[in-house]
Amino acid sequence: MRTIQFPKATLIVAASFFVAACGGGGGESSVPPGTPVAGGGGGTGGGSPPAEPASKIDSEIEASRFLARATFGGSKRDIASLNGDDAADWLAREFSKSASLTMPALLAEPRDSEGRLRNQRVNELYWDHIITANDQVRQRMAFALSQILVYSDAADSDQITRTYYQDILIRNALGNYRDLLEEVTYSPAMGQWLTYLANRKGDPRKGRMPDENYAREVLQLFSIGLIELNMDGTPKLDAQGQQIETYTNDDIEGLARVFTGLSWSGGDFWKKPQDGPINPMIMYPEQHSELEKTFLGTTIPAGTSGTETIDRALDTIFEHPNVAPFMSRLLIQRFTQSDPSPAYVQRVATAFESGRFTADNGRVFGTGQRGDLQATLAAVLLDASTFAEPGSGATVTSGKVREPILRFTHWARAFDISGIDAGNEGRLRDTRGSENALGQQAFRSPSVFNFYRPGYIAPGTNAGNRNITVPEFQIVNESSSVGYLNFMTDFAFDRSYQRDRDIDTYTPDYSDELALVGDPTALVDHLDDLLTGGRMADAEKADIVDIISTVEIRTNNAENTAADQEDMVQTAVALVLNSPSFAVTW
Amino acid sequence: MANISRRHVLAGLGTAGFATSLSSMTGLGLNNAWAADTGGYKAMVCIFLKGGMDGADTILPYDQASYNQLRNVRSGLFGAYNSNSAASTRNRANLLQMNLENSGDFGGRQFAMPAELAPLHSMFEGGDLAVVGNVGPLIEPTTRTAMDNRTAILPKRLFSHNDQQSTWMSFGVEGVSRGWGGRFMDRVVASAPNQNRVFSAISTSSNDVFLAGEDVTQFKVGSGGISEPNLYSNRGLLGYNDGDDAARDKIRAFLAKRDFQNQNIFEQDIANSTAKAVDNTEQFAQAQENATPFATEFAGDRVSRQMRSVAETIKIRQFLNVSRQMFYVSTGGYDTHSNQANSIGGLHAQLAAAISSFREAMIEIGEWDNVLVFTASDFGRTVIDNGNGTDHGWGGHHFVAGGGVQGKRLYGDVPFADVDSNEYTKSRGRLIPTTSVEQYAATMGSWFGLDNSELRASLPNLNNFNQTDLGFMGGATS
Repeated sequence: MRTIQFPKATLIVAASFFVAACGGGGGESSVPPGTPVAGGGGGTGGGSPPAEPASKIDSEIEASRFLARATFGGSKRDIASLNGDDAADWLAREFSKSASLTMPALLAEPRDSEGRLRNQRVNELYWDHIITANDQVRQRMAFALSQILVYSDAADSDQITRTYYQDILIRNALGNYRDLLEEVTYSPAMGQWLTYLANRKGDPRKGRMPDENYAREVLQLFSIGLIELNMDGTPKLDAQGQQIETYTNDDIEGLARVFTGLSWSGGDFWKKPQDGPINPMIMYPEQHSELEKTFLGTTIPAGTSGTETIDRALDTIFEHPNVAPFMSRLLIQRFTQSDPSPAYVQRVATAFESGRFTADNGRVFGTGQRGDLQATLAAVLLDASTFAEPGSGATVTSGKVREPILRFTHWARAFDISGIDAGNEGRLRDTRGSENALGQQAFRSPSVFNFYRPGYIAPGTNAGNRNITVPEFQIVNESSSVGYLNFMTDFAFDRSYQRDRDIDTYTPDYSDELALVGDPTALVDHLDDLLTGGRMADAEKADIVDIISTVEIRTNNAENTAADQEDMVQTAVALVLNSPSFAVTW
Repeated sequence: MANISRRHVLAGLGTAGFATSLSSMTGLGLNNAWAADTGGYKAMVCIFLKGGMDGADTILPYDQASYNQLRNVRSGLFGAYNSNSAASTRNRANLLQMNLENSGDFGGRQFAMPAELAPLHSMFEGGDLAVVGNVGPLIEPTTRTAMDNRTAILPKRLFSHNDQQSTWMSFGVEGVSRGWGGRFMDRVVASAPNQNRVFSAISTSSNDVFLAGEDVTQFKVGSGGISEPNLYSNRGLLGYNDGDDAARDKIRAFLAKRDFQNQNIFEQDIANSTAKAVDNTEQFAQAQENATPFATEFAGDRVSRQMRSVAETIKIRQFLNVSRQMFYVSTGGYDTHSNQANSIGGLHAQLAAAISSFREAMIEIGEWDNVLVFTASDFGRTVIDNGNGTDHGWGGHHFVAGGGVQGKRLYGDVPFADVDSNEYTKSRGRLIPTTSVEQYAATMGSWFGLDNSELRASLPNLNNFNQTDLGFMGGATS
């Protein structure tokens, strides 16, 4: 491993850090990928016992990599601060930070004469929020959950409803899954999105039956999935070697009766009150099905009250053995691995089931209650396999393709952007478009199935040929590749469209990089360390060095020189942002 | 439209390390490599309606008895439509009767479309459009009795959106990696080696599996046209000096580089996909330089914009070096669990406008006889409503349109709304399909040019059905 290449000019690197502990961190161990390693640093793995826990961060490169997995991207300050620490201790500190919610900012927003918010503020504010929030891990978890327990305002433009839902995820992100599921179920956002707000009991006279939408999707997408799973996420098979479906239409019809009678707070089943969007839905007993409800092997007796019914139903769903492996695999995909190994899934599922996870350095996470999300998330982020250095030579098939939202926030945080007001940035109003944006917008996917599917296997790719699931490839195509490139280029060059051109927003600080213009190799190495954790291939870096060395630097006057040097740095940044290595963490 | 300076394209070819595949090299058309093969052109256009379009609210019964029957079963939904009021689109008086050429096949029963589908109704009456009724995924002909006896072999994960979308496209649940549109194009490419693979299968929306073949993969055309990477095409970034052109050429080469010897498989794939994107969008943009506008206007909604992109792509087909193309268009919003009376009408209107504008554009360029538009959807919906909407069903009704369609007919079946009968599953009134998606596909594939063995190789369960040509493209119904 090379030693880190942060320039002396920067504040973040004290001289002592150059003497990287334990041979540069990561080591040259020949551990095959995916194998849990007790000691990631130090020595060559011979016969000596591991020197330190796998999660010990021994270099800024390791810090950069870990922060890319655990947050919205490591800033230089974060990297320096984490270096030398154990990631488990760092994580514990993150878990203890107070939650930063999104509602206050929205409520503080000015309104027009009709009391309306400016369009798309909810999107703009969310960008600012995830880039600046201090409780990065919690926010990253909430973002991950938003891609599983999907709510989208694509069909409904009520910004307050969505903001309230955002905060449900944020508040429960480090709590317990059972609480999360309950708050989601009672949220007006989900009630509207999956059409059970004002869902009425059946009427045999009119032939009406309850709406089945939430019953189906809460099982298929939010809890147990379609087929029975082992703890390691692999499908269980029956005696004929066939997969076993977790529920039938009969279960759905029974469960559909459960989600009847919920509607707006305020007392009127049909009418949305002023503060409806920021209060949980309430139960209207006269609209709730009085029939017996049978599903998933449980029967809730006829005449049970609506709230009691929902409580028992959520308990039944929560207690299903599928929940741990189903949710664990999905969460791993959001943070560290696009195609989680069964062993990894099992370790995380065990943490979910037991409610506890013990890190390599002995720190314990979780309350011991089943469904503890801190234990689960700690198991995801501190899994020893994610710290292991892959063997050289063989093709590495582990790692995660990062969704475009994460790549953008990483740039913003790595270069300490100032003027963080997405309201001034035309391109951040809605980044769903693939031709000229990121192909992804938080909380605005086209359906409850998110922008991409967990089981997506991309045709015509090396990964696809090996049946490796890579959800994020589902939004990669000709127009989105160019769209992403142009979007990132605009921001890298600080040329993104600003509504008020006199106000400079989302402005990167390239002063450390400008100090390196005299040494293109050093500049590219620095960007490599900062943005990919030192994982770029030699060919990628050599090409970029060649390109930026070709950029003309005029010497006729100081202004031109400065402008050209800025071009050089911006070009280097834009190329790294578009390099294959930046798109992937491993 | 993109306006690429040829200088950049040619400069790119000369740059060291600029590696590209043979087909895209010929496609760059340095001289006359793109001269059209005029030996026939055909295009299929799939319009996938995501969410599950309610067939029973798309093709309605028109004879009084059948209409009354549906209205009684769907009292909630018809109530939401206020169907007794004079202005209601579901008032029988306002329905557009379909004057079937094969009315004799249905005894005294009559059928109609709602007014929002008026453009399609005109096409139907004009003979350009047909309805294929009660289509859905089947492994084998399936009866209610066999289902009740548990002897029926059923497709997996019925009623699950993503799995049924996948099943319509590929005959397998989510995760299957080859779609029948892609498989059809594989056969074309195998028989016509000069066909440009890159532009054989075109999506105007998502990376769904429909167009994924072994040799053919989709090319994405956005509805806003094709963009170029600004990093080398926008001279304002690095500066307008010629001195920066050298850097720009190298940037293009970097972006078009397929292999950086990355160790990680995902990095390899990203490098390759970015490079393909750069090469392919450039090729396509060059072809687009020959484009001329249509006189036909398209509306601005999602479906119309996509159909316009399809039309524009067909218009430049001779510059793309293709004799067959498979298009994939998709739109959503059809999952009408609630508020159906206020939502499906708007969706229908968009669909009808898009198809009808497309037809006009094709007639403008003399290609209407060469194209076949067909709809597809996850499933139909429950005939029994939930008050103001419907839930997931199975069999649904679909449209096929094109100059070669034997229109003004209803193929397949549109059963009575007798939800207790054996045409339906045991609850909620879900139609058991009487035509399989594979029979639907085979009928179209045959017109498209695939022979019997190619069809059977592409459609895994086709052998389980007697009738492999439904007849709507004028083929013998065998």
